[in-house]
This record gives sequence, C-alpha cells and structure tokens, in this order.
Amino acid sequence: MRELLRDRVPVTARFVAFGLAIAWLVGIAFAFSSVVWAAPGWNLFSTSVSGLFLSIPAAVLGLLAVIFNVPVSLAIAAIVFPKIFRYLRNVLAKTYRMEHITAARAKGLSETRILFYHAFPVAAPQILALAGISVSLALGASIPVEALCGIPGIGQLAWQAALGRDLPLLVNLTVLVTLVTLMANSGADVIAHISGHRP
Amino acid sequence: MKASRTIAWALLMAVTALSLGAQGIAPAGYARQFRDSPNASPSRLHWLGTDELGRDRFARIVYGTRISLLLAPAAALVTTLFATFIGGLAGYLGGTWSRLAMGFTDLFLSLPWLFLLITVRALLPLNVSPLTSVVITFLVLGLLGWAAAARVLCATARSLDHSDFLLQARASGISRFRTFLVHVVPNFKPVLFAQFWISIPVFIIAEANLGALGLGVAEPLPSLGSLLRELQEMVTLRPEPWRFLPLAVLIVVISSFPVLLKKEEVRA
Repeated sequence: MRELLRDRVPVTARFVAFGLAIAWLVGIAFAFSSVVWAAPGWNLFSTSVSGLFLSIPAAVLGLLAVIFNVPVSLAIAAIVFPKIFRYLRNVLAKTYRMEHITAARAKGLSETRILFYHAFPVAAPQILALAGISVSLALGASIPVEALCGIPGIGQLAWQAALGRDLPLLVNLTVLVTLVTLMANSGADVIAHISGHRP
Repeated sequence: MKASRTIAWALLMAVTALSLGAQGIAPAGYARQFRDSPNASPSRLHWLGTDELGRDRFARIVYGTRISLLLAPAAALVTTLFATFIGGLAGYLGGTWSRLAMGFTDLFLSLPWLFLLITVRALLPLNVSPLTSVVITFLVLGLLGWAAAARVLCATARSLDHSDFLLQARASGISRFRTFLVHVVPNFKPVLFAQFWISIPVFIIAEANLGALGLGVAEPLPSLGSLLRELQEMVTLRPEPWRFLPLAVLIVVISSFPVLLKKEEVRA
C-alpha cells in the first residue's frame, strides 16, 4: 500500500495542483471581468463557455485533451473552472450590490481600490470555502481523467482497484482522499478564522 | 431569456420524442450486428455508420438516450424521496435529530463523490445481466445523491417551524407524523421540484463518467455513458466527426435542463 502510494501521490498532486491553478486563474479572470465590467456580450459568452464545459463529462474532457494533444491538467482545469467561475460570479455580484460599495463609488474611489479594500474582504470567507471545495472537485475529476489518459496517479489506481474489485485498496484510497479534502476545507476555515473573517 | 427557454424545451422534447420512439425510428436493434461492415462510415443503410462490432450507431444512440433519459429521472425521484425524509424530517423534528441528521449529511457531503461512487459500484457485482446493471447503476446514483438536497430541505422545514398552520395542527391534536406528511411535505413542493430537476443532469453526467470508465451499464445495452467509450479508440484512430454525436446529444440534453429552471427556483 505504502509503495503503491509513494509513486502515485506526487503524480496526482502535481497535475491536480497545476490544473487547479489554471482553473482559479481563468475562473477569477472571468468572474471579475463579468461582474466589474458587466458587458452583456461578455456575460453571454462566459456563461455559455462555462455551461458547455459543465455539460461535458470529466471523462470526455480527459479524452479530448489526449485527442487534441494538450496537457492533461488542462482537462482538470476545464472541469473545475466553470464551477469556480459561477460561484465566484454570484458571490461577487451579491457583494457589489451592497450599499457600502455604492457609497465607495459615490466617493469616487477607483475600481481597483473598491475591489481590494471594499468588495474582497466581504467576499473572502466564501471564496476561501470555495477554495477548499475546489480541491475535492479536482481530486474527484482525477479518476476519469487519469484512467482514460493513462496517467499513473491515485485516480488511475482507484479505477483499477474498482475494476479488479480490490475493495481494501479502494476504501483506503477513499479515506485518503477524504482526509485530503477535509484538510483543505479546514485549512480554508483556519485561514478565514485567523484573518478575522468568520463566515 | 424567454427565447432560450423555448429553444431548450423544444430540444429536450425532440430528443425525448426521438428516444421514446426508438423502435420505430432505429433501423435495427441496438444489439444487432452487421458483421460484414464493422467500423463503417455513414451510408444510406447506416446513417451514422457502425461501431467496431458492426452495430448501427444511430440505433445505439437512440436507445442509449432512452435509457439515460428514463432512468436519470427515476434516480432523481429516489434522491428527492430520501432527501425529503432525511432532511425534511430532521428540520421538522429539530433539536438533537436535526443535529444528528445534518452531521451525517455533512459527513456524506465531505466524501469525494466520484470515489464513493466507484467504491459502491465495485462492491456490487459487475458481471450481471445488462438489465440488472442498468438498475444497479442508477439506483446507486439515486441512493448516493441525496445529501445536498437534504440540506436544502432541512433549511426549508426549519423555516416552517413557527408557522401558524403547524401550531393549529398541533392544537387540533394531529399526530406529529401525520402533520409532517399532510401539512409540511406539501410545502416542500417547489423546492422538491427544483431539486428533482437539478439532480437529473447531474445523474446523466455521473452515469456518463461511470460508463466511460466501464463501470456503468453493461454491454450490449447502450447508454450515453457507454457510447462515449467509443471516443477512446479515436486516440489512436483518426477522428471521425460522426463519432462525436453521442457527446453532442449529451451536451444538448444536459445544457437544456438548467435553462428550464427559473432563477428563483435554483436559489430556493
């Protein structure tokens, strides 16, 4: 068990982390631009792009990555990004409707200052919670993607265990992934607590 | 926004009608093999060609869509029933029950969904008859998907806690269980409908993932998931556009569902 994991954990960790980083970058860029900029055409575009990715199963996104010869972590990014984008957009839109933002605008503050000093602190706890959840989403997506793209990571191991009905291994993997997810979620909670933004 | 809803309805209706009329429309049964022409290109005989075993692709898509479109709502029904009883009852009873049930729900939610799904699927026999495998797959989906809906229902039940009609029911001496069934559950209707509607595309996608991994519906029965397995061969073969059709059907079906829900219903 330990030997199996020693080789596989770094593989999954690296490619999930890379995918998550891209997903967050794109998600943040899309969400901020559609809330702050609020151009109707851009909104329609970003909503349909994320809707398209939401309706393609993770397995197929992995296969498409192989067919079109792009790095597989992009598939992870494509799976996680629409969820990040949609949630972030809703949170930000709600924040931007609050009255202190209107007041800040009326005072003539710049958009950047409003964003970092007035909107972000309010939305921070929810964004941190989303960060925790996104780890679990990415790990879930790692099963079909790794299985179909032939990446020797945790997800592929879980898939092989499921096909071979190796239950002890499968249960151990599930517990391991649950622990990682819980750690990510509590990590997000702790950061929110330390920085004084209790949800 | 109205136009997009009409389009979504029309698309969903068209796909449903096509799949329900599978016997009349499909040129052959889903398992019939044309052994002289495996991997054929589209022709008058086979509109979308045949797969590697010589089965008509169009027929398989039509039958596969039918299986996914009929059984995902069934699984969603199981899920909403579970959520009503776990979440709704917990919210209605309140106190220790509520904390216990919601703790359990939170525990369930923190398990990674796909890992849980393949673990439970692997627990159950894989080499069963195709029909049993369909039922098992969607039953597992239905039994594992209730947690998120249960939380919503618990919150809804709690919001009814201090309503006058429940006070009156209690004053009239109606038993707690009857009050729950007759006076509380009907108030869940809009929430239940939204949860039911949201779960359907989730289950179709989950089945597609399981199917693509070979853990879903068994051959020769087609489903949208097992049809996607064909895409795997394209990694080595040259991509032929008609092989993407199951994916296109899937995208149309999945993206129609959220459009049909009103914004308020999603938030409820």
